[in-house]
Amino acid sequence: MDISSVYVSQLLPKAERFIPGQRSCKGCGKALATRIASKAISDMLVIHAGIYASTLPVCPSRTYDPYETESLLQHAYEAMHVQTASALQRAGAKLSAQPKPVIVINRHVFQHEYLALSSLFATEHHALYLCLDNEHYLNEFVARTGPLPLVVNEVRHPVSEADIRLLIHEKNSPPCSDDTFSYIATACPSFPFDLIEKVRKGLSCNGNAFILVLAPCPTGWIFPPRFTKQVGRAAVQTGYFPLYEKTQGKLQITQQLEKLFPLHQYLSLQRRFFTVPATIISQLQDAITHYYNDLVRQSQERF
Amino acid sequence: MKQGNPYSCNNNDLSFDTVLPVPPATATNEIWRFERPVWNTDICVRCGACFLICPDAAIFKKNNGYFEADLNRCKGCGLCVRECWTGALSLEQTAQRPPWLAKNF
Repeated sequence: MDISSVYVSQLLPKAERFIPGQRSCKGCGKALATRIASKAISDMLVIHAGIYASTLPVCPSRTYDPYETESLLQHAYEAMHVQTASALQRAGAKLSAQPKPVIVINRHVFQHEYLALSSLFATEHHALYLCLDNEHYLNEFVARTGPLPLVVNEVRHPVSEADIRLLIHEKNSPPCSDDTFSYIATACPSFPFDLIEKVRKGLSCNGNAFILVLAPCPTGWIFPPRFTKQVGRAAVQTGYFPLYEKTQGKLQITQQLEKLFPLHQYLSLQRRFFTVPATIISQLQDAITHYYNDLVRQSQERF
Repeated sequence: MKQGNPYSCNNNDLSFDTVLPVPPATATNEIWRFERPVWNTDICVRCGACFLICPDAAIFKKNNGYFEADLNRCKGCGLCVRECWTGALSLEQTAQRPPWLAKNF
């Protein structure tokens, strides 16, 4: 067989622990991200009930049942315990056997239930945490940039430059200290091989691993479903969601950008940003440039 | 495949080459779909890009190496059509487009 007739998509493993036909929206970024990540996961997958078993008509990253977290924790503990016990039984484990379980969770749940989940991080059993982010927090941000409705009697502070810088800084990093996880990375399903590589690295590292995955949401972000991959690519290429990985505190940017594309290319694809004034957009652009330059400087530091 | 529930967490014999059985389609995604992808096998080079990008895992490989969408799973999102770099994929209308849907969606 001629080597040039093999395409990279065909070299990926056929097995994927992804059951088709779930109740996600058309072109759902979360479903796409989970499916691509499952190409690298062979043994165990603990999925937050909100994605696959939800009976709500709306994506559970906007609304979720707090009591579900209890069952998630219970499943996660069981999964970790069982995995470790079975790993001990298998003395001559195959090289393809997965060393640790994977926990897939929405960012909305991750942030709200962080206190409960932090008990998981402290256990001796390690796991890979895949955090799917469809930017639910930006709904409030976009609402703050607009005028108050007439009938609402409240004080709303306008968005300041410091708020924007804080938002951009907090958005692209996990909501915890660097010591909690030995491997931290950001990934996007628009760059599928990068995502698969990071999942494999997260599984093989010692200690807990955290991967923040951007999940473009056609329903929430209001764009045609066929543009999911394009929106993800624009997010990375404009510097809005840079792809990097941190191993033991050493940062490396995995998707190097020679120059950042203008932010307008990303914002114009989604209707949710159409009401944001131009002054805020220019402040966003400055904050993104500042953040990306900061990342580049951190990656070039040697210690 | 080991006997028992194939979705159990203790299936330690699962290797990369084993493919999980897909449950039968008791409910279809037909209500979502008003367009479906159609492959032009004269142009298709069987690269598998459409197979990888489908968020519903609706595209499967046939025996002759070309791909097809399982209409029980396909929601007609059009991601595969945009992903195809040879232009072998196109969307064919199967149902009336909802009148409330904007023209460019």
